[in-house]
Amino acid sequence: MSEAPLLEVANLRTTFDTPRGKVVSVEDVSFSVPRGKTLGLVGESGSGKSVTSLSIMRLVGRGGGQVEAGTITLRGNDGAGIDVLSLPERQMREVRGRDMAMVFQEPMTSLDPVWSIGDQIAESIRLHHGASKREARAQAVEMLRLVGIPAPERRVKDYPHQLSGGMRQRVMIAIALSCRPGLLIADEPTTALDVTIQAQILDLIRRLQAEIGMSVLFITHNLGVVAEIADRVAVMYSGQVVEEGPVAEIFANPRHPYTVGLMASIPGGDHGLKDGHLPTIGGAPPNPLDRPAGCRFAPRCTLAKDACRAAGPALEEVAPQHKVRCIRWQEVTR
Amino acid sequence: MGRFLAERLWSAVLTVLGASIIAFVVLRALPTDPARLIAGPFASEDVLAQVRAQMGLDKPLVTQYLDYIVNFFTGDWGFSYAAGKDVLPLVAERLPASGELALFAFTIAFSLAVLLTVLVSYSGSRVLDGLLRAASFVGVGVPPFWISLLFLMLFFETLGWFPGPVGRGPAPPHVITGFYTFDYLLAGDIRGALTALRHLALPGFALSLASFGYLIRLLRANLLDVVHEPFITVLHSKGVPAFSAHFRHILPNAFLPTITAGGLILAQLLGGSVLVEQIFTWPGIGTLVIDGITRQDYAVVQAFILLSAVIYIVVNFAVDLLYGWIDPRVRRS
Repeated sequence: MSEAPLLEVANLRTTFDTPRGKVVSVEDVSFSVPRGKTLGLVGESGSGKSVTSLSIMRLVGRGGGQVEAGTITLRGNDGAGIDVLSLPERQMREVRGRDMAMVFQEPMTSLDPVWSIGDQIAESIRLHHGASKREARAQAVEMLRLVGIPAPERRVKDYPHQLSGGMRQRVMIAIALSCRPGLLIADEPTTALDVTIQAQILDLIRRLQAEIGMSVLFITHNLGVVAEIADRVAVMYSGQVVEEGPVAEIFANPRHPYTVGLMASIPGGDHGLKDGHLPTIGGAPPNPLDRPAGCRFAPRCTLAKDACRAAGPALEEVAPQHKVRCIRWQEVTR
Repeated sequence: MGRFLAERLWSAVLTVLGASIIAFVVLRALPTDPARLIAGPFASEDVLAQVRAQMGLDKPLVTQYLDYIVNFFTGDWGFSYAAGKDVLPLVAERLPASGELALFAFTIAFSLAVLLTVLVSYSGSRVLDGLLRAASFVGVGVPPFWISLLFLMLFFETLGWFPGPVGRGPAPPHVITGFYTFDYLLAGDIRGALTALRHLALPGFALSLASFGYLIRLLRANLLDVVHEPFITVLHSKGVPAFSAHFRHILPNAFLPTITAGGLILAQLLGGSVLVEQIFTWPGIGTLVIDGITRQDYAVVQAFILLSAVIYIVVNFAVDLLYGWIDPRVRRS
């Protein structure tokens, strides 16, 4: 781990202007993705995972958001860092799709319905590699083969409506990987798919990661998926990273009460069903327009005391590579 | 594609038959007796029977209907008692006038609406968007007869830029297409063509306004919908430039309803417009039909109903073909 990470996000703050006031969607978010490794970004709906990924791609403006503070550094193979947030839009457009690419949650609506899938893959290749129409088409066929679509020479002319959800997600992956990006951001890529297809897509991403040697930022609300695919984990709660560290460490030794609660609520885990009920975390995440003053998890935390409600805790290193945002982390056990 | 074509053709034939049955039944169900209208109020029963026999009205209804259909497609559209001549030459004389006006109005409405809406949406300017919406409201909301009168007062009476309500202007020396502008151009007479265009201008713009406003509203709404589709975010994540995203992805996806609406509008305009034709004394099909209805000249009305059905169907067939060409989902399903 002496090598500098491929992606480094530090103190990211992204806000949205809404009719009811400014919403701080993501605040003081920091994490890093090592070269060739996978970071699992975990959290429930609304915790800021997708906003974080769109901030990294600098696409958050399309939804009316803006990155207010923080730094995002992407390092190329030569080790030179790109300051993503200060890049002119024109250069950022070249970075998108070439150096970092994204796969989205909903494969059914992620493809242009009036373009053939081959043309949609070739579009990226032509944009970033300046390939001719024929070269790009040939590469598109290769990409379809790579992501495991049968008879790719024939399928390349198909339109999205002719493919199933799993096949469309494979096409999305083919598009994202067509220019061999250093970083793949996968935003819940299996959530909308059947369980059997989910496993296939996870396998595919893992296999291609090894083949291309890219880093993956894998966003999910499913800790089981994280255990399977990630090297490191960052747990998000209410717009903040509350715990970050190596997968083995976090699973063996979680230090944030929220992480502990999440793990206890995995069905079939060793904490299992207590008297026939799945353990849950009581309460609901705070409204982003009206968050508690101190620790954001305090209202739902069994360990919370006055000091927790007084001031928001900082992200603190509690073991090598393991950071926690909790003042009582020493008392937290599974 | 072959099957797609065959299906569309078959449904077109069915639609023509349906329209012909309606036209036939409605006119037979009217309480007036066409024989009485023709022969006059003092005609004897013998004379009436003679007229009915002459018109084929004494035959069974099914035979009458078959005659009507066969005659329509063989070019015998009946006799107009009001005009004292056959219906077909009468319509053939009036149709190009309405057709030229309709095509002129449609071209203006469609091309201006599409051009303005797409450019404003690409610019992303709120001010321009507000102006565009205002234009659309005015276009849809202002009645064509009122705007016709306004145009005449402003551009004819006050400014004198365009001719008054005198119809199509001087006819070209050789009528080939029936469209004066084209006929003058074919004769190599540029000044003549311009004169024809000047006569078209006021009624054409007055007629185009409502369609112009409606098409803006439709395309604008569809563009806004597509802009917020998830696949557009995907495009940006691929690094596709805004121009390419707008013109090669967003527009083709948003354009289909506009094509459908355009087809309906064109078909409707080709059927003639009563008010604008009346105001500009335009010798079109709209005025002919109004005369036919008020004088109970039912051969004219019957021919018109079937003719406008055929126009609708032909235009819609063309729209279907365009659709299949643009949208792969239509082509394959």
